[in-house]
Amino acid sequence: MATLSFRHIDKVYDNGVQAVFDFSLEVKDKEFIVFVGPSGCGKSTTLRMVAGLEEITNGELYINDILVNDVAPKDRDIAMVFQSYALYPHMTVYDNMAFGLKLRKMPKMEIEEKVKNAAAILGLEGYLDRKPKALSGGQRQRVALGRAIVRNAKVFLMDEPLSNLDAKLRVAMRAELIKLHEHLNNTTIYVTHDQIEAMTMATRIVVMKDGRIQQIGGPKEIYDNPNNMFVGGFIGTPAMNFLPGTVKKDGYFYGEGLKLLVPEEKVEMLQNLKFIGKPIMMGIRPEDLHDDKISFEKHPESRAKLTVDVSELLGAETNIHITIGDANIIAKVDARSDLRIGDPIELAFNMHKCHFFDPETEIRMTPDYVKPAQE
Amino acid sequence: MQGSVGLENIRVYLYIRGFDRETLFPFLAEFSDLSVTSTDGDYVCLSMKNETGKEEINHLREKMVEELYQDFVAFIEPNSPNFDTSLVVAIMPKLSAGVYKVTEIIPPVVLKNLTGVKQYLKDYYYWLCGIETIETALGFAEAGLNATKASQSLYMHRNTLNYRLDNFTKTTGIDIRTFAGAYALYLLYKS
Repeated sequence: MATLSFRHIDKVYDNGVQAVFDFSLEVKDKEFIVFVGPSGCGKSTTLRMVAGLEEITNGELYINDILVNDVAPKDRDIAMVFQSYALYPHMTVYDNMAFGLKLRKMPKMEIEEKVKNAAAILGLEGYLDRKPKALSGGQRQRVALGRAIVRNAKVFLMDEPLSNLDAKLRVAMRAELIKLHEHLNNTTIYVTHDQIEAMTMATRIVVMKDGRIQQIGGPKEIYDNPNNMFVGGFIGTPAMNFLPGTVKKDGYFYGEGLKLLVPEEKVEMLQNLKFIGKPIMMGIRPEDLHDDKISFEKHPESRAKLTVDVSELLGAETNIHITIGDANIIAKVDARSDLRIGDPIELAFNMHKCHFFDPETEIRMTPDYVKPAQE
Repeated sequence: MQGSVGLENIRVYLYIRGFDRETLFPFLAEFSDLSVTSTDGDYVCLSMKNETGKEEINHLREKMVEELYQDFVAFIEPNSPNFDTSLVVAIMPKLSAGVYKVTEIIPPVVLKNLTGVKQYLKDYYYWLCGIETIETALGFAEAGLNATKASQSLYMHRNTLNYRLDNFTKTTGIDIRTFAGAYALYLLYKS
C-alpha cells in the first residue's frame, strides 16, 4: 500500500534556475504514473525529489500520508529501479537480489527468506544460481525488480529505464514491465520522453513542459481531449495536425484553401465564447482525415482537394504528408501504394473529432473556457 | 587528498555528501576495476583503469543510487601534466550530481562565476599549450568548427591548423573538434 501526495512543489537550483513549478498530484495506491515530456521539462528532477536525491525547495511531499521532505532517501520506502544494466555480472541472481540487504547487514536467514519470496513472485526460483548473462532480457528485468522487492519498497521509481535499448527490445521490455506491474501492483512512477511508452504503460500520464504540468489524465483522455496544443502535438504519432483559420457565422471553418463544415455544437460553443470570425487554431488527428468513399459521403461538406507532398507506406497504413499554406499536415489512411509526390488527393475531415485552440494561449476551447489573466 | 595510482590508471574523485563508510566500502569492493586510494571528509579518490569512461562511472552511479540511495559528483582527472586537481575538487560540492571531465567542468565554472577556478584554467591552458595554440583553437571555434574557414581567417596553412588542433586535444583532453569541447573553450576565454 503506497500513496503519494505532491503539494505545490517547486524546485529552484542554487543558481536561481527554477526546474519545477507548483507541481501538485495525488498518486493512488497501485497506480502506474508516467511523467512524460521533452528534455528539460522537469520530469527527472521531480522523480529525484521523490527519491530524496534532490531537495524540495517549496511545497510538501507525502508518502503514505507522512511528510517526507526531510526524510533520508533510504528511509522513504522507495526504490530506484534500473533495468538489466544495473545487475552485477559476476554475481548470481540470488546474490544480485541479496546484495543490498547484505550491505545493510541483514541476518542471512532473513535475506534468504526475502530473496526466495521475491523469486517466487517473479517466477525466478529456478534461476537463482545463474549469472545475469545466462538470462533473457525479460528475466534480467525481473531480477532488477526483485532487487527492489526484497527491500520492501512500496514505491518504484524508474527514470527512462528503456532508453538505452534498441527498438525491438524496448517493445518487448515494455510488455514485460506492464505484465510485472499487473502482477506486483506496486505504486510506480516512471519517467520517459517517449510518448508511446507513456500511452501503453500508464494508468495516468502527467505531461510536463518547462517545469509545469500541462495535463494529468488517463492515456485515452489525454489523447482525445488534450488541454492545449503542446499536449495535442506531443501525444500521438504522427502528431496532431494544426491549421490556422477562422470559423464564420455560416458554420464553416475557413483556412488556407479550406472550407469545412463545423458541427453545430462546436459552432455554438465558439459563438458563446465569442470566437466566431476570430483567428483560431484547429487541431485534428491524422487518423481523422480520410480518403475513402464512405467518408466522403459521410462528411460531404468537410472535404478538401489537396496535393501529396510525400506518401509513406508503413505496411498496414499510409501516412500522407500535405502542405496547406504554412502548415504541414499528415493524414493516416489505409495502406495504399499508388500515391506519388504531386498527385492530387481528396480528403474528408471528420470535424466531429476536431478541436479548436485559442491561438494566443494555445489552450483547447471547451464550453467553460476562460482566457487566463496575463501575468 | 592525493592517492598513488599506477601509470596505467586514472584518478576519479567522488564527492558523496555524508556517505556512510560502513556501507560504501563494501559496496565499492564489489567493483573489481576500481580501488579506493584515499578518502577525505565527503571525498573519495578512486583509481580506475585508464580506459574508464563516463559510461562506466555513470554505471557505478546508478548502482550507488539503487543500493545506497546516494548520488555523487565525479571528476575524472585529466591526463595533463601538473594539473592542479585540488581547485576543481574544491568546487565539486557546488556542482549538480553527475560525471564530469574537464570539458564538462568549464561551463558550470563559468556560469556559476567561480572566478578563481576559471582564471586558473585559463592560465593553465596557456601554460600547457602556448598562446598560439589556444588562439588557433579559439579561431577554429569561431569559424564554426570549419577548418577551411578557420585557416583562412587565421592566415594559416590547413596542415598547420590541423596539427595545432590535434596537439591541443592531445595535450588538454578537450576535443576541440566537438561542439562540447569548442563550446567549453570558447566560454572559458571569451566570456
